[in-house]
Amino acid sequence: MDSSMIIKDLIQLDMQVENQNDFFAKMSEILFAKGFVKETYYQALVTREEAYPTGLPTQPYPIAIPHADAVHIITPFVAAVRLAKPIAWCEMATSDVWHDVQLIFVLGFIKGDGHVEMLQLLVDNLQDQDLMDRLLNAKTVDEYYQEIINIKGFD
Amino acid sequence: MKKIIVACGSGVATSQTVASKVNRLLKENKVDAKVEAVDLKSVDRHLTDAVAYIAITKTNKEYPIPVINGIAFLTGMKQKEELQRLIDAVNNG
Repeated sequence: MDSSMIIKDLIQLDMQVENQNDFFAKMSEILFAKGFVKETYYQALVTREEAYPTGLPTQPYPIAIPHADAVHIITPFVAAVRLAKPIAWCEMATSDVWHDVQLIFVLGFIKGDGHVEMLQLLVDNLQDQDLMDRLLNAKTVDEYYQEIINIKGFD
Repeated sequence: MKKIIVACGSGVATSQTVASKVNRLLKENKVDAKVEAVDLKSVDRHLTDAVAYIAITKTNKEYPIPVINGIAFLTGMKQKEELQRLIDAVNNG
């Protein structure tokens, strides 16, 4: 599948955030400045996460796949983020199961853009210990980007 | 063919991903049922003719049909068990 939705320019390595809300604020600012989302995005992201948390208890490390409704997206994207230190993230379909999440994939999907295959490919591969360790140890944005687009299944 | 529903908050990411994955698994297991991704607000309407509800959001109420843990199909954890529960629901529904 086409890996062009993985936007190299949106990769954040060792991003410094205090908590989830701080992450949403900083990430929304970046996405808005680069023209990927509308002004309404930040509030939409926060509201949606409150109602429907997006932490996934994948092994070996939990991940998070925050996303807002399609109407707030201008250009589809996947923003891959590695935090400097993990933050608490609530597990999907719960309101009280928390995980320390360091790797986040912010999904900016619009209906009918092949996101189903994309999400499946990501979630399946992010359970590969070797890949996860390479992502955690990548030294540069280039390295991080290469690791992701080299996932089997991407063109 | 029997109907199974799945719903998530936005209907654009997780629910469709789970639907496509479960449809593939059902086909592999030769189960005559199809998963349909529906809007969370319309779940109640689909309860009358669906044999199971795959939930990927918190469920606070009782449903008249079996509720399957949809996260299992995203993460692969306990997927086998949840798939079996789903197949049982199709066979009994």
